[in-house]
Amino acid sequence: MPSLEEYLSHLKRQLYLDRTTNEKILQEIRSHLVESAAGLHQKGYSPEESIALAIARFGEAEKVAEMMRQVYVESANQAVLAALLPVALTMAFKWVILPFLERIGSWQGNPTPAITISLALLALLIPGLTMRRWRYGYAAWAFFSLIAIAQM
Amino acid sequence: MTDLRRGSTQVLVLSLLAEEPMYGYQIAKELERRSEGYFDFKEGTLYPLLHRMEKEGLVKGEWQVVEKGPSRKYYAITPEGRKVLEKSSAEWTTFSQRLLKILGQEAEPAST
Repeated sequence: MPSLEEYLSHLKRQLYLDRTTNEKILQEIRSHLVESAAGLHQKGYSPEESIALAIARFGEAEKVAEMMRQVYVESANQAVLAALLPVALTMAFKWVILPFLERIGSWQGNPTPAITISLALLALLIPGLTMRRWRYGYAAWAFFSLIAIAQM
Repeated sequence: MTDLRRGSTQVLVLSLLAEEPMYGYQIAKELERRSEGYFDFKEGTLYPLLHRMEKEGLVKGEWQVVEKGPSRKYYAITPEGRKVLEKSSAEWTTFSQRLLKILGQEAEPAST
């Protein structure tokens, strides 16, 4: 059976997340395993047996890491998709809606600044609503929104 | 089956946290104690669930320094979590009642 440090470093290698997230997850799991092993030691198990049993009860590092990764990767994927919305909205407006309006003759020339700003704000709001709990969300949102505004 | 089990673990954890904020190990032990070992699961599966619920805003995690031993991350239920707990509890009650009715054990407690 692996030692506590071996188990944690194996788990760390499987997580593939950013360093801060990795450290927070590992700190929490370490705390759990230490307390679990201490409880088992009090029941009469040797220190080595206590660690081994605590790890066995916790589960395989690969499975725990995979489940944890899913939680964070799903959020990241959702945030990236949401962040791409401003670009998609702007492209749709510029290449589809505007040419269509020009073709039917009811719209001539460029949209007024007020309409441009309104659309940019709308594009900014949509991803913001979906990413408010993701700490990198605002950075990605701001980045893609700037691209969107630049394209207008 | 996986969704069913995950759904049941979520409602169980939320119901514990509705009483008081708890940390991971405490939740695992409390679930084991109250279910008398019936809800036997690998303790490591609790953390992805807690982190998912934290991302969804159902619980809020906060680190607390402990005098003796490592720091602990306590999870507290949020108002949104209470709403989900209320809804899930009602769904599970209906589910178990319907199941018992089909099994013909409506008025009797489940045998072990």
